[in-house]
Amino acid sequence: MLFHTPTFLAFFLVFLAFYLPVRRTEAGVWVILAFSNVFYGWWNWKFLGLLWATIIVDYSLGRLLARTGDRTARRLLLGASLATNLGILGFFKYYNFFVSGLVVAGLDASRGWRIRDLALPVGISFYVFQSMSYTLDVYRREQEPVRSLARFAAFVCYFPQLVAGPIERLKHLLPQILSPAPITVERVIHGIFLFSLGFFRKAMADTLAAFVDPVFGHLQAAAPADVVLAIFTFGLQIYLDFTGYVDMARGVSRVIGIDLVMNFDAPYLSTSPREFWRRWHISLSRWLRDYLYISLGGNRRGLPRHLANLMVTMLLGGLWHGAGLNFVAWGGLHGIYLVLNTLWDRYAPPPARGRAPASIPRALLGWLLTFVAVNYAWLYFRSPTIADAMIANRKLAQWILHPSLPGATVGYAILVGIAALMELLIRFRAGPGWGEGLPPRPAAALARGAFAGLFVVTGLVLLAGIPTQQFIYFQF
Amino acid sequence: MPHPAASALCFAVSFAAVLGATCLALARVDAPDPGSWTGIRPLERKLDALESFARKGPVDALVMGSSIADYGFSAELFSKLMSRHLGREYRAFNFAIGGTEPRTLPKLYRLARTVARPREVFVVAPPEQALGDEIRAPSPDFALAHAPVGAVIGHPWLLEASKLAWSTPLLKSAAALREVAVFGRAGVLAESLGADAFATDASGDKVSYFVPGSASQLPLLRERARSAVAPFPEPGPETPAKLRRMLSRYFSRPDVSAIEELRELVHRDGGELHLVAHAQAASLWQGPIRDPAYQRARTDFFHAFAAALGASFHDAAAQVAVPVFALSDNLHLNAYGAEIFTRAAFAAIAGEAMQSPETFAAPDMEWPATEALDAATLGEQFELLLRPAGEAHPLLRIRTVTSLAMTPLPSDGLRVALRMPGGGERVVPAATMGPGDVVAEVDLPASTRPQAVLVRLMQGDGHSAIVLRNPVRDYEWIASFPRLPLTTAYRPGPLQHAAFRAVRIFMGSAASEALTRRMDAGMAAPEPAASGAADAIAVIALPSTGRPGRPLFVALKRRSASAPEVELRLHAAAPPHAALALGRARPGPQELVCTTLPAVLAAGLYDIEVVDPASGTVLGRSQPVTIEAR
Repeated sequence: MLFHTPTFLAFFLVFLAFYLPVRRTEAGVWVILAFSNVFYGWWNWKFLGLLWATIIVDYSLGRLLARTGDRTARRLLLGASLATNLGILGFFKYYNFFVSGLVVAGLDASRGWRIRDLALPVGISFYVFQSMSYTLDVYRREQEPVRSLARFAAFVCYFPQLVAGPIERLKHLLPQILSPAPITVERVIHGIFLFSLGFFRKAMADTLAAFVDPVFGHLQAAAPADVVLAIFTFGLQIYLDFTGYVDMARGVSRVIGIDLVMNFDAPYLSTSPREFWRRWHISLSRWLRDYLYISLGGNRRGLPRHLANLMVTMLLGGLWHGAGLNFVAWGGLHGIYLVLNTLWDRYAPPPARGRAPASIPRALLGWLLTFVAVNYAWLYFRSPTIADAMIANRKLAQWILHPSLPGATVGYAILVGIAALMELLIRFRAGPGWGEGLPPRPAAALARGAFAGLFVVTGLVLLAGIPTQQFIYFQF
Repeated sequence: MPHPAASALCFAVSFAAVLGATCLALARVDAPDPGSWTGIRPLERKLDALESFARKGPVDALVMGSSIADYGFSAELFSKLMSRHLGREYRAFNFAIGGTEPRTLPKLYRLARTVARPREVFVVAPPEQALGDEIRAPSPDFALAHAPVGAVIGHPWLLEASKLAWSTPLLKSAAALREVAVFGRAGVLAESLGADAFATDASGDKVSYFVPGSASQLPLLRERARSAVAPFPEPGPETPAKLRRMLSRYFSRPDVSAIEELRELVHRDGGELHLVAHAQAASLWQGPIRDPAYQRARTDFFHAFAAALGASFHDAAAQVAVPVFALSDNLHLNAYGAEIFTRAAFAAIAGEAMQSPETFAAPDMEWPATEALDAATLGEQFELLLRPAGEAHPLLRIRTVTSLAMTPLPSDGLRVALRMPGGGERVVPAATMGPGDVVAEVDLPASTRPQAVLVRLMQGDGHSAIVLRNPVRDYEWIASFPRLPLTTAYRPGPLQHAAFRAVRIFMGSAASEALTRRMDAGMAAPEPAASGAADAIAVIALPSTGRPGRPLFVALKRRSASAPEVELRLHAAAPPHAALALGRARPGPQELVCTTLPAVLAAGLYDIEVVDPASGTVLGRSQPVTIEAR
């Protein structure tokens, strides 16, 4: 069930009918839980068992962790949680990738170990990480264990963010589920506005896919200029697709009095790779920082270890996105960017505050380099295989040697222009929350209504009659 | 009003206003609809036609089937025959769609019942082998499954709601707007339309006048049709168990479920089902295939089908024989073949003796030689038009199908090639009278007998001739060129100028460069000096030379108050100074009108007069326009 379909609209209306009368009682938790299961089961009800296995294991281990003071036992319990979660993730996501690796390594006997048609449960990387964050927090004694299984389950499978994030922490989400904020006019207006904005962004993403997919589907035959355009367009497509999802998730959630964390903050206006990761997929970046990078020692154990930690974190971050060498390459490339960024900051530190004129060229140059580098890395992310990525690289080199103009339409340029304008608006005016929490003045409401209407109208024009496309991040 | 309530109201009003204004604006734009709701443009056209049909009276019968029934059954004729037979009005509609398989039937029926409740359903089908369980990409089932209707087709309430939503201008125009504005490709719409190449009449019948390009392949195709279905290997009486086995042999599993679903749906609606045997066109050529094995196979097939449908069976194809000129291609009958088959179907259903076709097979009809088809100097396919006995009109007016699937007819060098019963071929000049509307100067001698004439549209002469495949929608033999109305009017104010430029940018070569150039030139041209009352409107012909049958643009600039509606006349400068009305316009301060010059016009000098139609006062006159010889 996708947010931008009539099915979801009907689902949400029925949900509201059940939820609104009981939202501030324990029954509200049960309503969220029931509807979240329907929402997830809509794709494939068989995978509900897997979701519940994660919930039950982490709930039980969380309770046991709280009861146990013994350091070894606690480590064992945490290990059991990690093994279960990563085992589920590893099996469904990486098993065939691992077997392919054995075959490449020369172990021919493993060829038959491959499981055909091994389906990837939708959103598995998201809910496993969310659930795991709970046991890790309980282990670190940063979180009290949850006593009620229903409450914990409602936290893990809260439907607006179940399949593609943002990855929430229990201490942020569960209190809101238990005691949602009052439903105000501001919340409803803002929620509808966010949902419309997300719908529009998704529509733009799907439209841009029409420029990207044919090129990446036929890389060998594509003109070098078209490959260059497709790489940069994919950067925009994935951003709009993902932010579109998050906007809709946050919009839906905001209407019922629950605020999800921000996941994006104008990332393509970042002036360094480090800043990019503070603004792109913020909930995953923070998860990786808090539970992996810091656990590895972060920047506290000297420069070589600091750089190694960055590389490891980004390589695993790449692998989190998908089982393939192309994802590893994408993560590795971002690791290299962060390493270079760290070294640059160390040996050519930014000018002291107050010297604004000197920092403007630096910021502009930083933005340009970051923008190009980040978009170049998408080449590996989007290419079906690493061999395809190499073909795309050759085309890129050809284009650098013999530049030419790609075949794009004015309509395409308008879409890109709108997306750029939105980024600037977020960065310099509206903020990532698009005016969240501002008092609902009639004039502002009038403008919001008009913009929401425009978003819906344009989104419908862009999407009507086209087979519905999943969100890109559903596959992760 | 409290602050939050005012805000909520403001939000709701502005949101609704944007949606409403967009819908209103789009309703005024005649954007093409590629059939986004069902994914099948011809199906949506038929559904619209069925809705109009149902509004005019009860629908007695709905004909369903594949393209074989779409081309090869005339619901219009069937209605006439049944009305005569029953002594009351009987109304049948042809809802057959190309590519339909048994599994498609309940979906079509569900769609049809959103606009009509037929009393009888006629499934018109040829004997065929099962095609397999999977849905293949270009089939209607695939299109329906992937279109918005796919998710709701099984739920009547949702289907109605979905239909309502998709009838709003916003959703209906979305695909056209997207393709042109974002992708700059109007042609994609044409691709999506697929089989939208033929005319469909008010009864839903697809009308084809085509005949096969060659008769030499027909024996082979007939042989293929014979071996397409094999008899059921079990002899003996038809027990229910045997019928089930027969059904699973001739139909895929989804087909069997769909047949049962259709039976339930129709019976629940109180309707009655009939199965009418049809056949591939090649297997009707020269009469039914007599091979006993084929006869047994088709009997087995239809008995199993009818039993599963719970339908009465009418073997209309058993005795039908059609000449080669009644075939559209090897699979389908043309309009003449449809007449023959429909008479046979009526005879089988009503239990009457079959009557000869009235229009097609007149006993004294003069036919072209069959060999004329194989002497394909003009290409592969012809259309067959009938000329009544004693017909002496010198002009043939042909209206071709105008849809996004068809390339518009060229305005230059249009010719019509004719092959007459007496042999030989004539190529005569023709002129376009409007979109898809052609008049050819055939100038044939009157004949005492009705004639069948092979016709082909082409552009150019001799070796450089290009054959045009625009199907004929209808035709008539006429005495003189029809009067031409003004075809288009543009009011190029600043906004329109900007809009037109935007269209040109978006659509690139698809927009008429010549038109925009002329529009720019016309508006930029200096106004002629005023010289009295006859200069209330400045008239500028663009360009100042024209040719018969070609478009001519006229810029009108209103200088003073005058009649709101004016008439444009083409006035010969030389005796006898005859004036020819070009049409009427309601010019604003600046307006560009486009008219097509008459196809028959003597070369010479003319001017264009703008006249107040009420008083006859001349309000403006152009500089002389040179009309060149065609």
